Amino acid sequence: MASVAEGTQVPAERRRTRARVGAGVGLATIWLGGLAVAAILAPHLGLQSPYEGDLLETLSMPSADHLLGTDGLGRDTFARLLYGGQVSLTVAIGSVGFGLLVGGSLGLIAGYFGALADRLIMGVMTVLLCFPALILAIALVSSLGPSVGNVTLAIGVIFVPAFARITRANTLSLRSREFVLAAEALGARLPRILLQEILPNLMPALLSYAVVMLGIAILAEAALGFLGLSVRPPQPSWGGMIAAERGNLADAPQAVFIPAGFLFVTVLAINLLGEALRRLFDIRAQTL
Amino acid sequence: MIGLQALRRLSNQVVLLIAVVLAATALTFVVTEVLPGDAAVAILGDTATPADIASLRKELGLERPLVVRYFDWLAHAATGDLGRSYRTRESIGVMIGQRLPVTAELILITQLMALLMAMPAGVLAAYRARSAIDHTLGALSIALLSTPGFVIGIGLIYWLSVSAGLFPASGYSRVSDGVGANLRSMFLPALTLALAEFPVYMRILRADMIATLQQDFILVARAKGLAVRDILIRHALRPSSLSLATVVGINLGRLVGGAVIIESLFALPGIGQIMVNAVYQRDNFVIQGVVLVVAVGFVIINLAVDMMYSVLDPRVRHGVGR
Repeated sequence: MASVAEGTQVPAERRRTRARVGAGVGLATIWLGGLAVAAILAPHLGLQSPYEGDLLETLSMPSADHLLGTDGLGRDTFARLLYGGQVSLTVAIGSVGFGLLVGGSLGLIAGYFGALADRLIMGVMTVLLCFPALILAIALVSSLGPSVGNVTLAIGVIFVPAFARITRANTLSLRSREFVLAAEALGARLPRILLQEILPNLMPALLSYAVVMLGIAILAEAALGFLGLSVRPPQPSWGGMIAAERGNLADAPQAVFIPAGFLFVTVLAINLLGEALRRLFDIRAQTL
Repeated sequence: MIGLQALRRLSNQVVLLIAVVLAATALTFVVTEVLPGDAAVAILGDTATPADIASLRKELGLERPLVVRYFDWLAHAATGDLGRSYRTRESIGVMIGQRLPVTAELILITQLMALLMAMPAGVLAAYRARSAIDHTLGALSIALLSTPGFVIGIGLIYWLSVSAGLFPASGYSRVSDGVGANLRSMFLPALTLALAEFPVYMRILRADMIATLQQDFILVARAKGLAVRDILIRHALRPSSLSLATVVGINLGRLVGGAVIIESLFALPGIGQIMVNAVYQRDNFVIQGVVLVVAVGFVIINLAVDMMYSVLDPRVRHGVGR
C-alpha cells in the first residue's frame, strides 16, 4: 500500500511539478501585468470608444476592426473590457486593502490583548460572518448608490471578519514567542511590539491570503455588476456586460462568453499566484 | 457520562443560538436604520413632500426610537408574528413560508449533487495523490473556483438548454405539477451551485484523507489484508469527513442568502428573491424576517453538524483525538 501512505517523492517528479507551477505562475503574472497596464493606459491606447457604438454593426464576431467583436449596441467589446477592467482592479485592490487594514488591526488587537477585547471583537466578527455576505453588499450598494467607491466599501466590509480571524489566529501563536517576550522584557513600547515585532511575522500569511481575496473581490464585483449594482451604465463593468448580452445567448454566444472568458482568465491567474504563494509560505502543505 | 457531555454542549449551543439571533437581528436593525432613506421615502418616491413623508412615517410607526421598535419587533417575533410587509401588507410569515421550500429544495439538491461528485473525487485524489488524475482534479477545481456562479449557470443554459434542449432555461415547476417537471426545473440551478461547491469539498476531503491514510490504523487494516476499497470507504472516509461536514454545514446556511444570483438567473421564486426585492424597496420588516430565519437555520444546522461529529468519528465520542 505504498501509494496510500506515500511519504517519499521521486526528485525528478517534484522538479517537473515545480517547473509546471513555475510556467503557470509566469503566464499568470504576464496576464495580470498586461491587463493592469492596458487598463490604466486604456484612454491613451487609441481604442475605439467604449460608449459610442455603430448600430449597423451589433453583435459582430471578432474582426480586424473590432478585435473581440461588438456588443448588442455595436460598441467595441475590447475597449469596454479594458475600461471595465479599471473598475474590477480598482474595486479588488481597494476592498482587499480595506479588509486587510481594518480586519488586520482588529485581529491584531484581539489576538495580542486577549480577554475582553478578544471576546468583544471576535463576537462581533462571528455575527458579521453569520450575516449573508452578498445580501449585506447588496443592501449597502443599493442604499449608498452604485459607484466604484461604494462597491469597494461594500465588498471591503465583507472581508473584515475573515482578515480579523486569520490575523488573530496567527497573532495568538506569536504572542508568547521568545522574541516578543524579549521585546516586552526590554520595555519596548506597545506600537513597537505590535508593528515591528509581530506584524512582520504576520505578513506572509496575510499577503498570500490577500491574493486569494483579490480573486474573490473580482468575482464579487462581477456578481454585483450582474445584478446591476456596480458602476452605472453606460460605464462598463464585466458583470454588467455579461448581464446585458444574456438575452442574445442563442444568437451571439460570443458576446457573453468573451467577457466571461476575460473574467475567468483574470481570476484564474490570481488564484494560480495565490496557490503558489500559499505553497511557498505554508510549511504544512510542503511536507504533505 | 456521554449524555451529560452532550447535554452540556447542547445547552452551550442553545445559548449561542440565542446570542447569534439577537445579535444578527439587532445588527440588521441598526444597518437598515443607519443607511440613508427609509421605507416611507422608498414608498412615496422622490417627489413626495416632507409632510407626506412625516405622516407616512407616523403611520408605519417609524418615528419611534430605534430601541423601542427593535424590542417591539422582537416581542412579536417571539410569538411567531413577523409583522407585515410595508409594501404589500402581506404577512411576512406567510411570504417566507411560501418561498422557503423552493430555496430549501434547491440547497438540498445542490449539496447532494456536490457531495456525489466531491466524495469519489476527493477519495481518488487522496489515494492517488500526486498522480496525473490528482493533478487533473486539482486543475479542474482551480478552474471551477475561478468561475463565477452566474457564468457557470449561463454556460449550462447555453449547452444543456439552448443547444441541446434538455432542460428549461428558467422558471419553476411546483411539485404539484409533477415531480419530474419539478426536478427538471431544479436541475440546472442546482448543478450550477453544485459545480461551485464541488472544488471546495473535494479539496477539503483530499487533504484530510491524506492525513488519515498515514495513520497507524490504516496500516493495521492493510496488514490484515483488507481490500483497498474497504479500507478507503469503511475505515478512512468516516474519520476524514469532519472538516467536510463542518463546511457542508456552513455552506447550507450560507447558500440561503448566497443563492440569490442563481435564483434570479433561473427565475426561481425562492427566499433570496424576496430578500433582494425587500432590500431595494427598504421593506425592513421583510429583511428582518429573512435574516431571522437564515440566522436560526444557520445555527441549528451547525448544531446538527456538531452532534454528527461523534457519529462520524468515535474518537470524538470518547474525548480523545481532539
